[in-house]
Amino acid sequence: MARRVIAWSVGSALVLLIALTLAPLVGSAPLSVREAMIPGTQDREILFGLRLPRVLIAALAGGALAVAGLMFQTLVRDSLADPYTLGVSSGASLGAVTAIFLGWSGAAGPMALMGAGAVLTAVMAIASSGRRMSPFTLLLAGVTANSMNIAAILFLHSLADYGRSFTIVRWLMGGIEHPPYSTVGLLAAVVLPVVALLFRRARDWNLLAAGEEWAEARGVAAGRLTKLGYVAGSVLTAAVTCLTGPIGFLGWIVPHALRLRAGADHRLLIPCAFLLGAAFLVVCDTAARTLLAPEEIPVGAITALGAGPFFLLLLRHRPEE
Amino acid sequence: MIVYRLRAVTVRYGKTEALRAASLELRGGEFVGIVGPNGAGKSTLVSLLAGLRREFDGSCELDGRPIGDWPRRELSRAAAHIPQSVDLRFPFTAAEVAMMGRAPHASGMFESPDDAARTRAAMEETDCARFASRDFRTLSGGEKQRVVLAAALAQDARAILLDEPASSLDPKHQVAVHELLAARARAGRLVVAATHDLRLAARTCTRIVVLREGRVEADGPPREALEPATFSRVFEVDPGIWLGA
Repeated sequence: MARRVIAWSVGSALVLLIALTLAPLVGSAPLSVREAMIPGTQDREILFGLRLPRVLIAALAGGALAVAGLMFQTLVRDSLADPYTLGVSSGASLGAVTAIFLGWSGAAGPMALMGAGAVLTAVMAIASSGRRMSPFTLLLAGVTANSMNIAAILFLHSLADYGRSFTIVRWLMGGIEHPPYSTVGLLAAVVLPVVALLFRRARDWNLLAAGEEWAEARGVAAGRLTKLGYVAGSVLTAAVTCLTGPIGFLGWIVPHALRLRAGADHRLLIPCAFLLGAAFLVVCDTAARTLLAPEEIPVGAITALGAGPFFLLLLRHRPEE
Repeated sequence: MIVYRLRAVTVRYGKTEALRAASLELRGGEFVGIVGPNGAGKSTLVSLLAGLRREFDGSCELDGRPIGDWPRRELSRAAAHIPQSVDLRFPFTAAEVAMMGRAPHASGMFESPDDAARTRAAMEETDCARFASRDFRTLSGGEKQRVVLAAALAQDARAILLDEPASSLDPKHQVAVHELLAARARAGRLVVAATHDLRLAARTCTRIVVLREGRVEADGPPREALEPATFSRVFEVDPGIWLGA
């Protein structure tokens, strides 16, 4: 088992490394790597000042969303769940949309974080009001929160003027901007420790994936573990969403495809979902900023349009069961 | 030796009383069959012993310590529980499911060679090593039960608590499973199995506990516990149909 985990992880890490190396070299402006090594040149500014931080954000965001999706799928024992199923991300969107509606576009990020926090608190309170946290209540509470948030977003959107309406729609499509390195550092400081924490409990997630009583009879406090998974997945989702807006598809497709090919062991799934989710979003974002350059395509459109057919192919060639 | 001591245990689900004032003492070396009609409280009793019911009236002690005071992990090394059915949604292989029985003993991220060897031995014993690498979800009901039973054996606990361990097995495997459980009991472990297979229980168990509407109706060696009068009162059928053969 250990050998399989290492082989898959090394393979996934190589894929990510290739994506991280090539993506910054691609773009609307031609670039000479030799030029970029000389301080003060324009090429250096484009490569290290603009493209690299954006590529790094895409990697962190993709990895975080894939791991969040994986966790939520495990918690509700449904491989169609994604980071947006359990409500936190629509809470973030509502926060951001409210900010834009009120004309405080600059505060969209922090407001998104507040919206996510509010939903997280509410869903937790409702789902853990019984004796122990039930995944089913979690799912119901999350889906209801989603519907309410989306209704509120539609309502605000219908009242917004033309300019703000456009900004709202654009935000809801999701996109990665050119961030400063401090933002990259901040996102890394949230995402990496949370993913590491989840990985440490990988064996326990396997037990929980087989059922709550199954896990409890093997020494795991299922209720507490469910809570941990929900909060950790929500923190990952919220951190990414308040920077990029909602980016669909990736959060369920990466863990789902991975399970199809590599099985259900979380010791393999968590690192590989992170690495491959990261590579996936780096590639999609590179396509988003280059295909119609200088126009940018919303990256959420690329993730679904580009990867949907790929997944359908994967479904056709399922390994023998 | 492992000892369970239950005094006047009542378990409620909402307003329904699944167990009513049940008092029992169970010891290592016994193979206890828990029988009774549907809804008699068999599963509740088995899961209570496994520490999965933490709210009840009365007292349930394992080795002199209240079951609720046992740390979960320590308890799972003392008592292995397998549920009536395991419904997996994810592609774990049969070997991975059986290996989960080693979780209470594991410390690191990966199983040790010893864990792997014990799991393989348990799978040989329940005759499921042949399909170790198959997706658990694609197995038949009986094959699944044998894999889950292997997980319980690999757990290497002093008490083995089973909820209808043989309900989907073919006759050959039913007998084999009961024999291997009986052998475990002879070796000093406590085996408790909720079952509807009265004939097999009467043959292989050392003791039968008859439950009806949450109460212990009879408790003793199979011949006494399943004597015709009790039998027809509890099961509301003619015992001749079931046990006569």
